[in-house]
Amino acid sequence: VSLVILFALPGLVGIALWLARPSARASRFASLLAGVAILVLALRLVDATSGGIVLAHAFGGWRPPFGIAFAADRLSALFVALHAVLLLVALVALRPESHGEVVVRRAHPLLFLLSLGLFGSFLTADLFDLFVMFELVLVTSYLLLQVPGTRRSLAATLPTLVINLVASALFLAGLGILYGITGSTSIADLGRELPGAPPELRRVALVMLVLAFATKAALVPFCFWMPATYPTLSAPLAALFAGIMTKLGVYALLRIMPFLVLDPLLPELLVWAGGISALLGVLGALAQYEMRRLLAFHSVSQVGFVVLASGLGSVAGIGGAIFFALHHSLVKSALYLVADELERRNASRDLRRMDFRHAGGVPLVGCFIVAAFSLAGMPPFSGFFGKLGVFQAAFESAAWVGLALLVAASVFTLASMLKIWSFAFQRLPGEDSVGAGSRSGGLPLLAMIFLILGLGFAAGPVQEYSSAAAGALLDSSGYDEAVFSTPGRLGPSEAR
Amino acid sequence: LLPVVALAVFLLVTVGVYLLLHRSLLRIALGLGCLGHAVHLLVLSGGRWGARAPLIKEGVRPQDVGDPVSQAFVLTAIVIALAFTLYLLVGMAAQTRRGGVPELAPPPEGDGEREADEILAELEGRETET
Repeated sequence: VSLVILFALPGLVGIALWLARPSARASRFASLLAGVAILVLALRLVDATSGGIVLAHAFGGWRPPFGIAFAADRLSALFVALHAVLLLVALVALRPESHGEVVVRRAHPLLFLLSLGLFGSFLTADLFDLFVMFELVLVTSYLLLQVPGTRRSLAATLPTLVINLVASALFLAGLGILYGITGSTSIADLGRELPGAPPELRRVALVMLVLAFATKAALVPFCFWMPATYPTLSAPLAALFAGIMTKLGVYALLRIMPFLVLDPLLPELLVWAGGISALLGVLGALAQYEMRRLLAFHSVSQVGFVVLASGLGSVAGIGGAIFFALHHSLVKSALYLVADELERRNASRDLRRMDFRHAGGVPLVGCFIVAAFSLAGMPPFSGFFGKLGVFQAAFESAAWVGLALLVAASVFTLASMLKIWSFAFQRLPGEDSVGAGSRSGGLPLLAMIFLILGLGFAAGPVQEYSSAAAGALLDSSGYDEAVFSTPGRLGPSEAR
Repeated sequence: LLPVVALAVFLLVTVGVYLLLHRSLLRIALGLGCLGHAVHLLVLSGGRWGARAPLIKEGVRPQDVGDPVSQAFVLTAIVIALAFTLYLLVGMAAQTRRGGVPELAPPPEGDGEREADEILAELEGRETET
């Protein structure tokens, strides 16, 4: 039942905030309260599922494959907790004083409705329900992109919407074919039916799903909507989006991974797509001068790492992918908060207009160094362990080309971080650099930095957790059993 | 019946993709509509005729009954598609009202030649149009 509360709470808060239209301060107070409550619930979910227990709930008492069920295993719980953390950080960072009262009041209800969609996506045990949740996430993120209300935000949003709608159409088409060949859209039921399904139709349907999820995850060549949209978002929202939105596509890919490994072609495809994304994404980043665009191209590259690792199809690969996704969310979110601070101090989004005087103070320099070193994969930080896991998995699976692409991408990652460093933190003031602007609160940024450091020091246990989650994903017997044995009217045995 | 449906899906996808390749937002909205309906037909035809559902009265042969599950899927998808079409059209109207053309353009990059004050106001959310 706690699954239903976790799913319903953000929705109710969002609707209440939307209807009550409180002042920015009251809205912030209520949002922070709700954010903390959601985080507590999410952490309790992680605790409840960490021993390998799968929680399940069938709506209306109809048991799958007839009803729609929610189920939470370790993978779901991890992504739910990740979003709860990022949501709270974004809520703390989004202050009326630094981001405008109108922005805050517009964004709060939408943020909670976005959380409703994301929690639904992470918790659902049914692919059609996942489609509906994807649409919910798409509509709220479309509205959040409109929050600044500038011409640029509108111009960037419409292409994003169109691309994502095409992806949705592909998702639904693939889903229709899957339903046609198996008679079910329940994930647990598909796991039983798909091995015996006609392989050609199964391949067509799964390729459609992979293309849809790759668009959400922003893999090359479906990535270009992302660098266009993130610079126009309000900065705390950009931090949240960078952390979780690409991970939604990654989560969906991971969830259908047991189906993809049935077909030898599809994991191979993911390895190639991931490797190419990793390299081209970082090369795209190197060419940028706008800091947030640079970071967005980086996300393309890092998602490539995750997708390559999961395409290996082994427990080590998928476990490495889960850990890397977690690490990348935290680091990228922190880097967007650093970008916000740099942008407003320099009164510019362009690296060429920044200089060292406005990068001032040890805290910001320290925060950037921790996040950038972690992203580049330096040893004491989380990124090192993430990359180590992915490289080891690629080595074990003898994916040499993929490994070479990832190594090249890593080198360029370091180079692109050095580019930010040399412009924003070292550059001497030139004639086109402008005076100092305002500051935003540094508390959420510091919290993210401590989380990144913590993930670096606790890398061992977290990696154990993620490989356990990967093992449970590939051998889905526990998940299936939990879903099929939810208390309900009709079970699969009575139906067939 | 199935070959006819397959032909309809083929035609709708063709027209949809053709329209999507234009810059005009109206054509794109129509193209997305065609693509969406192609997918809806596909899902319906993928449903199982002679379904397992027990909603049958006396004298009706099970194989004549459509699959209610895929109908429910399509119904949901149609509602969602309608809502998104509206959003797209509203976005188009907003863009036109702000002096733009109703076309999909590559989004502007960077700060351009704008003044620092202006950019700072945007970053701080002071100048939000409604």
